[in-house]
Amino acid sequence: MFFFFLLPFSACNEEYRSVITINNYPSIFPDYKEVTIPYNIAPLNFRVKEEAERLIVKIKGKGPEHEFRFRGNKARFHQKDWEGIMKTSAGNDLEITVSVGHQDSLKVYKSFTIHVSEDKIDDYMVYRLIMPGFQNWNQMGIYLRELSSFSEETVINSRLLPGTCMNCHTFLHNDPQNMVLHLRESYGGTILYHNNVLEKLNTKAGKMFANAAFPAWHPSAKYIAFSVNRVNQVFHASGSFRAAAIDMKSDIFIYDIERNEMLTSPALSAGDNFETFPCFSADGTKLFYCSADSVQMPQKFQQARYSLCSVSFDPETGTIGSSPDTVLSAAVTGKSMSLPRVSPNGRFLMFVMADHGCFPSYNPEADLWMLDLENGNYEPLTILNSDNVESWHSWSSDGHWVVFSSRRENGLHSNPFIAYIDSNGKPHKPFLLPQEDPSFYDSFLFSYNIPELIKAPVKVRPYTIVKTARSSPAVQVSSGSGH
Amino acid sequence: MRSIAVSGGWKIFYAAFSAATFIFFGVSYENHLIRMEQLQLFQTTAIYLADKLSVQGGFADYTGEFLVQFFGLPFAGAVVTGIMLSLVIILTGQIIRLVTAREPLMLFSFLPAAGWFLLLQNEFYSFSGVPGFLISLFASRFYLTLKQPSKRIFAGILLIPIVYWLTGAAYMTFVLVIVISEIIFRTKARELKPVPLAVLPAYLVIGIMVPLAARFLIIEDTLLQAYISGSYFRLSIFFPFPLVLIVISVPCFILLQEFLPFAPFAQSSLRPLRLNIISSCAIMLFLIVGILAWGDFRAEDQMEYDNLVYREKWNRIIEKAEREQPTDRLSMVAVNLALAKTGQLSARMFSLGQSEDFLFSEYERRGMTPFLAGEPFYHLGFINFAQMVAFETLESTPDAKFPSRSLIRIASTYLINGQYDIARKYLEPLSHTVFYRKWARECIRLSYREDEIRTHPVWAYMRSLSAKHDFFYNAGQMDVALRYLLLSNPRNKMAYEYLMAFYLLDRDLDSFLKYLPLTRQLNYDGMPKSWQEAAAYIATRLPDDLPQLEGFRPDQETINRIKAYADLFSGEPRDTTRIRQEYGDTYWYYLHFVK
Repeated sequence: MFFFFLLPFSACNEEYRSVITINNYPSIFPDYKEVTIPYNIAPLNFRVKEEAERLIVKIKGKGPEHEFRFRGNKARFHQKDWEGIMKTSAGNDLEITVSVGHQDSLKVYKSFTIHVSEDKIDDYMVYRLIMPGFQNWNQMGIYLRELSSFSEETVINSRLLPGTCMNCHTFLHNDPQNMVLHLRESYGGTILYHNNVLEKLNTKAGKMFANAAFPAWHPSAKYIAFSVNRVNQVFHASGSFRAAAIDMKSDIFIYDIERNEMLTSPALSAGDNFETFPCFSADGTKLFYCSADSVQMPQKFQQARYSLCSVSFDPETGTIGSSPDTVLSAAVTGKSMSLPRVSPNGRFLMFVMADHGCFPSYNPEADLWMLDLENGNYEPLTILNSDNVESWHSWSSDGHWVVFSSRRENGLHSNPFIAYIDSNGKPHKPFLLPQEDPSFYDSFLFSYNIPELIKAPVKVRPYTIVKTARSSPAVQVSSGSGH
Repeated sequence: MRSIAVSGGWKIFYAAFSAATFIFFGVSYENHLIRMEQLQLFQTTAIYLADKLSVQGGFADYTGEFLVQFFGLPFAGAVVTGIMLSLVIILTGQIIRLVTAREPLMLFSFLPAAGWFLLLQNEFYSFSGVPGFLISLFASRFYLTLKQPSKRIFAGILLIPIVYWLTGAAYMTFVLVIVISEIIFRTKARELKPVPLAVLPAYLVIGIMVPLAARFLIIEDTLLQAYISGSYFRLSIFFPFPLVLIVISVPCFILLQEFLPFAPFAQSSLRPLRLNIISSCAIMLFLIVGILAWGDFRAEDQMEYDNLVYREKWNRIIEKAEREQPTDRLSMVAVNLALAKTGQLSARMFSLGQSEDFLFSEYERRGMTPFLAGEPFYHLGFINFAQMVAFETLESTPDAKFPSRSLIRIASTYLINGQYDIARKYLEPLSHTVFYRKWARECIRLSYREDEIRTHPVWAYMRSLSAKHDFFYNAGQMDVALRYLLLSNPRNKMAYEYLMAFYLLDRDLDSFLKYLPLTRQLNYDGMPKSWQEAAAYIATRLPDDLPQLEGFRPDQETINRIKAYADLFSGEPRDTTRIRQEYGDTYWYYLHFVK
């Protein structure tokens, strides 16, 4: 719905014969309308989804109004101009007015607002880039993006380590001083950076049926919880759900870094159950994870529903509790929970809920939910969710920002969205990670996997990781006694 | 500057070499060149150029891709290859002449080009290597035309990093040529004054240090790739020895021309002619031996089938198969697809030799997934499986480039599935190419226009074939998949013929009989030959008439033939040669003699 009227020549738009005021928001990509952003974010470049010879963007905040003029349909702000606006706008709203010039008329759209939060986001994001294929891959990498600019650096990629799959980069407290990531196939092993030492581990210890995966740091930095999974894929013949990943078998182990041994307990590696996606509570005395009763795989994979569970953990002795609690039962929700992530203050637990299974990337209905650990209430993060997959969320160090991957743009490629979470756990409208060219996502054929926010750049150079990865043999993790 | 083709012998051999290049790559090896084009996606955008120029050897890669994009046109690949190799010959000759001040020996001028000729036979060698090598030769020639030593020093220091950045590995040719040339200028009296001696180690140090500095400051790559770049060999972990020979060939030939004993006679009136005749013979021998040793004509044959499938030249595939009778799985997958597309699969499949795995290609995680593997899926209506294979190809190319053919197939499958946002993502890069732009833009225009898609001759037809019932891919149970496909569209005659062919090849006559009645729904004018043969065979094995065969009786000719076959089969001793000659095109022969 819109209306327009013709105006005579206006002072600032003298080149247009008619100026049409439209009472609708402009259709722009990425959608930055009514979002909350940190003041240290890169320019929110965008394009209008219509033909344009000229774009005029007026930004009015606390300071003077800024007017930017662009050729074509893309708004690309200079870094310094943008930083200037951000510097004076923290804690305030920006009013953005977009005018689109085409032929001899100028369409002036209804202004929209962007709220600039006073809360800074961690300066960097780490993610894996990989094409959304099936089984093969020939290029992938883990990259570091500076969020205040468009600068991207390599942490490690398959150009440097040919034939090597890399994934599950995880940091303690958003600090790259403690980092773990996995390498598979060629040069396989777990790369651990801890106490300024980089080493490669062989995590398959004792009775473990595979190498460790999906790590989660203990807040003390003394332990890392892993799940061990045997995963299969099935490929659908019809419809838009092209594939599904199925956990055929899974257990959880806790790696004691100092003792170099894997700890487990019958609670975390029960024979018939699937246990996966561990995550420690903020105080480190509890381990959250997802668990499902065993079903016949792959035939009945759509019946596998994971509950959110927890078990006590004593960091002093490394003792794992023997009686797990069901925090949120799949029998109650009728859904399947995965990827629990506790907020830094320990109050909230964000997780993914889907119809079945534990690999939500393949479930279009997968949504982000939040559990308030103080009162046990849980609810969907509706403003963050879409009708496609939302998953792989990561809290910022202050707990006010969260980044997650979503397939909302086309249902196939995962892109990173950033959202503000206020002190009460209320989420604000998320925004897509800005790129220098607003058309970047139109033809970028890679998915962003596991976006993680970190406070400082990864200091270990790619060549150092390569050298460590190529060093053989890896440090063998021993099989510790179950506590 | 004397022309390189002054002497008659040169002219004749130069023409012969060019003709041989054109004939070989235009006629005998054309499909390798077409494949090169399918394995890349050259885009005309500034961003694409900038991306290429941001890495070492990227300009050579860009130039190579620019040229290869034309290889889909008839004979274009052969013409371009011929021109590029001719330039290699000319520049090699000019460089040798500039340094040694003598007419270059034909052997030395032609061998680097002949080396490239042979390397290009192997699909792991990138065409980009040729322009990279040429740029290096151009730079060498330019350096050698500078008369003042100071200018040469300046050019040398400046050109080493530039040639390195533009060409990757071929910069080594440039460094070696200028160092060896200066050594020769110092030891032998030449028109050009040599540069000071200290400059030569400086050239070498710069040559060694530039890639290291680039690796430390600009690029992130393995040490090997920092020196050679990805423009020469499609597997990044190797720099094969033949490429090393090519890189050092020109400097080595300069040395040989200068210092070998025959060289002083090279300018006499008789000697060059004799040497050139010997050279011509040696080069021809080198090429013939090289082609025999390196040429992969089996792959060329498979690629021809594959390209014919891609262009949907079904009758040409059948004609080729009738001439040559392929025995490898991929080629026979193409042949069976061609038979099915022309409605002849059930009638003629056993006349072209069969094996139980000739309907579909193997799906495994090893090497590059062949384009052809997805073709039967696509044409049958297994749209998601065709998409899966296209993705697998996209993500298994050795050099990690985007194959245009895979992107086209991926975009097509998403268009058929009505997933337009995804289709557009893959159409977008295609819309920035010279040859796929028109198609891609039309597809982008069509997306979300359901009315137009529904009446489109291609997309509407493909939608009508596609599976409506969901099931999982299982390479070992393609009959189940085919049955589901038929359930979605009972008029999918091709799926039905594949199903029946599957059972015949699997020797599963119970299932064959079970689904034979479906024939009635698909308007066959009589039973196809292989089905009649199977029905006749079943009839001979049972004492009573089978009710399932009611209405599916083989004709009299088939009955007479199976009787004769049975006599021959049970004869003592069994004359298998005669059986093959007379009944090699029957299902019975397949049943009894093909393992």
